[in-house]
Amino acid sequence: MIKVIVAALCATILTSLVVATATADGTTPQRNFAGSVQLDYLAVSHRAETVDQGLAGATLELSLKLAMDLGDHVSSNVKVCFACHGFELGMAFFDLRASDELNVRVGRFTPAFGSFPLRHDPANHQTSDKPLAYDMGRMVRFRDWNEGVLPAPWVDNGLEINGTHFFGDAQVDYAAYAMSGPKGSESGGDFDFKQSRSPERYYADNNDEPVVGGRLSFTANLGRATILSAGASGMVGHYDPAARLGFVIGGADATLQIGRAFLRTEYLARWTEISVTGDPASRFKYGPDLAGDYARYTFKDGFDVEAEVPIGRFQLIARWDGLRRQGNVLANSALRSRSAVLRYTAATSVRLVSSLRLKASLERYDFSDFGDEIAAHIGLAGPF
Amino acid sequence: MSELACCALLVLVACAGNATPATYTDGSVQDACRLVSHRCSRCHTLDRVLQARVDAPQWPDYIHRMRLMPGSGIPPSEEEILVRCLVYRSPTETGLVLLGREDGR
Repeated sequence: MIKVIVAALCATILTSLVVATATADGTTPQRNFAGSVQLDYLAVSHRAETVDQGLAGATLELSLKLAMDLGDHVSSNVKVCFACHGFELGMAFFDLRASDELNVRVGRFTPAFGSFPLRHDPANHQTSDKPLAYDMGRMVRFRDWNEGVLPAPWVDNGLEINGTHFFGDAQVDYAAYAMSGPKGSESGGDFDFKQSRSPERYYADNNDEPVVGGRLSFTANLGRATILSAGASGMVGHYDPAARLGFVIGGADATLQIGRAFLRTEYLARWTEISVTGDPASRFKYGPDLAGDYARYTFKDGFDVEAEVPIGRFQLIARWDGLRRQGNVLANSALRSRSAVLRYTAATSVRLVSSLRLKASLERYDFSDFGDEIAAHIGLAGPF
Repeated sequence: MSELACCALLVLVACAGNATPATYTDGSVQDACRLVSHRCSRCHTLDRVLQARVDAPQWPDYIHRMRLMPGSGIPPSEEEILVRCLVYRSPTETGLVLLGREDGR
């Protein structure tokens, strides 16, 4: 089935290439360079207890992006990031646009999943960190939790067909993609996100089977200053080298904009198959059920609700988000078979000078398995 | 705590009602820029848009590409209005020349 989908995607690419080439206008390429920097300091209330499980202290995020229009139908983007993983390639892709409704993206990029990843750049969102479902190493105890449901930005190799269509003031967007996909070992019990960014793995797929996914979203202009949008996303595939352990990720999101104020909400859920072959009794913390069988799936989901209101130079943000995990865990895990964390965030972002902003936030973590934590962020961020 | 968080969110949203702007009627640069502040802030901080180092002649293509982004909320009819503001604010005088009016109205 997956191979049929990939074949269909390839056929669409060829069609778009033909159309794009046939309608190329030969205009001079246009280049645009942009970037952003964020330096953030995170302080936590119980540093001695959490230092091994999180990244308290200062972190820097830099992105440098070059966009190039090679005519009306072909464009390319290259983005280099420097952050906790060192230099990484965040984007390197071609867009081949046959029409508004048909665009083919080929290369390395973030596939269309959810709403937040579109704003993942620190200069494009007002808080210092990301919603827990999308956390990539900034939540307290992220190692205990193995990060969020799908860390953002999720960067991967593959191709995507996407498009948009306007019906008057309403907009429908779609995307379908085939990507290398999340990776993990047979005995790991979960994704191993390091494998996706390790040069030792050559940034290549760990099995020869791409994952597939898609997104459908609807946006309605309810007035000149009010916009409501909603979307649903999904991704399915296998993550182990033998392509035997499957996963499914689903998501839903909605955003209400009134003037320059926003109310956003998002939900992500992931079912991950785990291997129970060999000697599961020594690998897992919990034993089999009454029938003697070990559970073969774990479930992880997360949500966030965020309100953002501009008042003069200030952006005020209130956020409530959470993460939950159910299922067996490895024997050395600090989590239990049912674990949860809720986080309450009050934040502000102040424009200092030009486009430079000061971000500050106070967060309270309510863990089911650990003591509560108070975390404070303060940082500078801005595009250039 | 959950109830407190919900209340805080509701208060912020209630405050947002006061930020609702006037409608765009006369086609002035001010109105166009008000539209920019609403549309572009969906995905960017407004500073990023207004400080972007994009030459005036490039804005039409740039806005077209942004309009095609998922959930942009920018219908085709608004492209020209958005370009009008951003060209006017371009760092060089090219923008005013392109607009054909030096007062931007």
